[in-house]
Amino acid sequence: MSAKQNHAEYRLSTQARSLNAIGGSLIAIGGILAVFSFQSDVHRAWHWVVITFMFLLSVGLGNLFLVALEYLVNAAWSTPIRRISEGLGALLYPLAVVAILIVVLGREQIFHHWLHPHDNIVKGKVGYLNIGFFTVRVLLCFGLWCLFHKLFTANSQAQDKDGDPKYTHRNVRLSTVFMLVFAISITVAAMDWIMSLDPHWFSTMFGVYYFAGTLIAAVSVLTLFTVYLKENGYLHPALQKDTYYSLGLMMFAFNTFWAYIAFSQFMLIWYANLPEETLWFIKRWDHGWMYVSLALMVLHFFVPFFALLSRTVKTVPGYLKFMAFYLLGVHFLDLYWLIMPNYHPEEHGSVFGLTDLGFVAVAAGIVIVVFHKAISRFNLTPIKDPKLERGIHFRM
Amino acid sequence: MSKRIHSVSALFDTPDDIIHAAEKTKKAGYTRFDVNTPYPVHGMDDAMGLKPTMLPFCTLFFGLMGFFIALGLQWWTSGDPMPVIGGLDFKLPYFLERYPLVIGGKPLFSLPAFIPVMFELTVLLSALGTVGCLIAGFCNLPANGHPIQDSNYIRATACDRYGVCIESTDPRFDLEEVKAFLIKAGGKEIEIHMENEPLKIGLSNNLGFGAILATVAIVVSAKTYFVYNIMLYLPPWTWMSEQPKVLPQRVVEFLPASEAMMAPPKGTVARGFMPYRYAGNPDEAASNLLNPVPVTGESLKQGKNLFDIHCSVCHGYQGKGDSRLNGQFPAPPSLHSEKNRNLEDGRFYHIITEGQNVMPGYAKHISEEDRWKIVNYIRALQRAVNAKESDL
Repeated sequence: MSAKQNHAEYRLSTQARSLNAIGGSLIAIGGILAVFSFQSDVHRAWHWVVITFMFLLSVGLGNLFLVALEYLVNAAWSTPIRRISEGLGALLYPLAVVAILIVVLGREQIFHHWLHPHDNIVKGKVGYLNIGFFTVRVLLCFGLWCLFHKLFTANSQAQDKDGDPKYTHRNVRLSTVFMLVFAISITVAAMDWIMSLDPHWFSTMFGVYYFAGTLIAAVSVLTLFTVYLKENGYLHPALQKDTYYSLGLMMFAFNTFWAYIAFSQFMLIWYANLPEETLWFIKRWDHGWMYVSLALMVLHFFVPFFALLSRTVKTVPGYLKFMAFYLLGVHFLDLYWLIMPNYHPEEHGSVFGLTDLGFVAVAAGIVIVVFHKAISRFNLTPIKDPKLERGIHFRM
Repeated sequence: MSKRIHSVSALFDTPDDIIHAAEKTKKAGYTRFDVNTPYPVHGMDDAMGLKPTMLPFCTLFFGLMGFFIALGLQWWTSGDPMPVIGGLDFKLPYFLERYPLVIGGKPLFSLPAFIPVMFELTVLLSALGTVGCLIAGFCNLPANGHPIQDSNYIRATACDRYGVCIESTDPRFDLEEVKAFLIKAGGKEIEIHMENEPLKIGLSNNLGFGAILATVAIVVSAKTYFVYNIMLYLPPWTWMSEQPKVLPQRVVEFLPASEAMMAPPKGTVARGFMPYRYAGNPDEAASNLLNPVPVTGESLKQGKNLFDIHCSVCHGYQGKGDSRLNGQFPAPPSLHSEKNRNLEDGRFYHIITEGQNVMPGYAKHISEEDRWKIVNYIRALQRAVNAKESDL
């Protein structure tokens, strides 16, 4: 059925320019606010840059993971919307530039704890936490991610021409390697960009914790764009509530997984009660941070758990769109809770300025603009993928 | 005897055919019909127009029940054993006994420690509840058979065919009309199923069944006899308990005096052991021993803890001799009697150390300092029951 359709129908037409306009204005407004933020407090603004950066990494890297996951487990339901994930994976290229900018310009504001170690504990970690090795790790991680994104998308797009299943087999083999690379690199990234802000503290579960949040953000953005594109007629008309249900289910599942990991990390530290571990949670409890911690617990777990529990609501596109926005919001809150307390909590308490919302706007704008740019280059549907037919007619 | 028609069925060859047939049946206005396929066919719920099942609500109900049972159970069992209700001591029935155990220095009510149990019980009860509700409420119990279960139709659909079965309870059911409809929809091998006769079970009409019952009865009796009269008295394995080692209170040839437990050399004491100077001499202990532990809030609190653990079992939480062992064991006299109130600290200490009458000595269980703390707490208890005028 799909083979009969014209390829051009699956391309983003000129009308979708509105996406660019929305994204561009978000970046412009957010950028102006961010400048004000930098003027009021450089230190806090740089921490917000890290939050934004980690959020975008969640979306980009998470979607690259979803692409690899689909190939690895031979999933068919997500094949018609895989191109959206591939397009969102393109976020990794600009993010590599942002990462280098942060290392060059903002390292004194963000990583000063281990750049200038004052005590023996941090001095003992200098072998890992030094700017040279840090840069090497950043370059290596982004190099590998971009390489894999390039390979996955190249194979996928080559298949659009002749529909040869060998491209699928190649991507399956690639994804087996990528899973190992991903598991290690996302742990390294989480440790480097978030855990190292407080170099005294360590948790062996931290990589998984960030990974859980990553997947929520990735699936939420994927859901948003799927619903948006479907409503505007860019996706196959036969796609219907069963695909939405799967997306809603993934949001629900990964949100519950996040709660499971977050609680496991907390409970182990709470039970062992070791001073070098508990200080991290104490920092997130004192000086007003208690309210943020409790809000995270309620808003990030209890509310979405019950909001997405019902089978029926997971098939309603408008509701899913709302929940996707909501989950992206709480993922921002999660990152804020992870990163911001490292910014002199004893002096500032739980700091928040309205201009900081500019960074959120910039993040949203970047996602939209990069997605639009990436997705305009290829078909929105992998028209000759062998699994496409099965995916379009996927029913529960 | 003419039987009632239960249903009319037709077979189809491919999953696509059955989806279309189900859609047509729904469109034709039939409501009481079923589809049989060898495996779950995706999209069938929609094609048949099935309403969402109520089963998830059972899951939710039982899940929440597990959650709150686990929370309530842990909250209750780890609470204070002596709740004071309306200013009165409230004696709990035995099945509501509470066990406040301090684990890892955490508070008695520690939600993070409870959550894994709450999580597990939520999962367990929601899973069991779902299956239980499915069997009890959604599977037409107590019916133990189905009219189509021994037909060619069900044999075919359990193997490689797909079938629609329209039941006679449908308001639009008419035998000829349904037959014509199924043929028109592309169905083959139309089959009419009759209502089952009521099932007869009994020895009179089924010898084989009787034989099975008799065999089961004999086997179960033999097994029961074997377990209760033979198996329970077989000697257990003794590989762990019988070891070639020296056990106390045995004769060992190569040791001096052939005793396994050798007496310590004269003039030595064990590490950390301080001999009790007034052993067997309560009067001297009473007049010579002085309480070295000052009465502070902290030491009284520890004394209460120790008293509740070691002494309250017989003496009761208030030392009235009305403990939870009351009636099963000789009750100790009240600690609040005139005589006991006038006893010296040293004598209490001596009694705790060496015991008195039925009471055993606690020297092995309670350290010297802790014994004095208990003495202080007993004094506080006595003062609480028989307060001086100056206390008012």
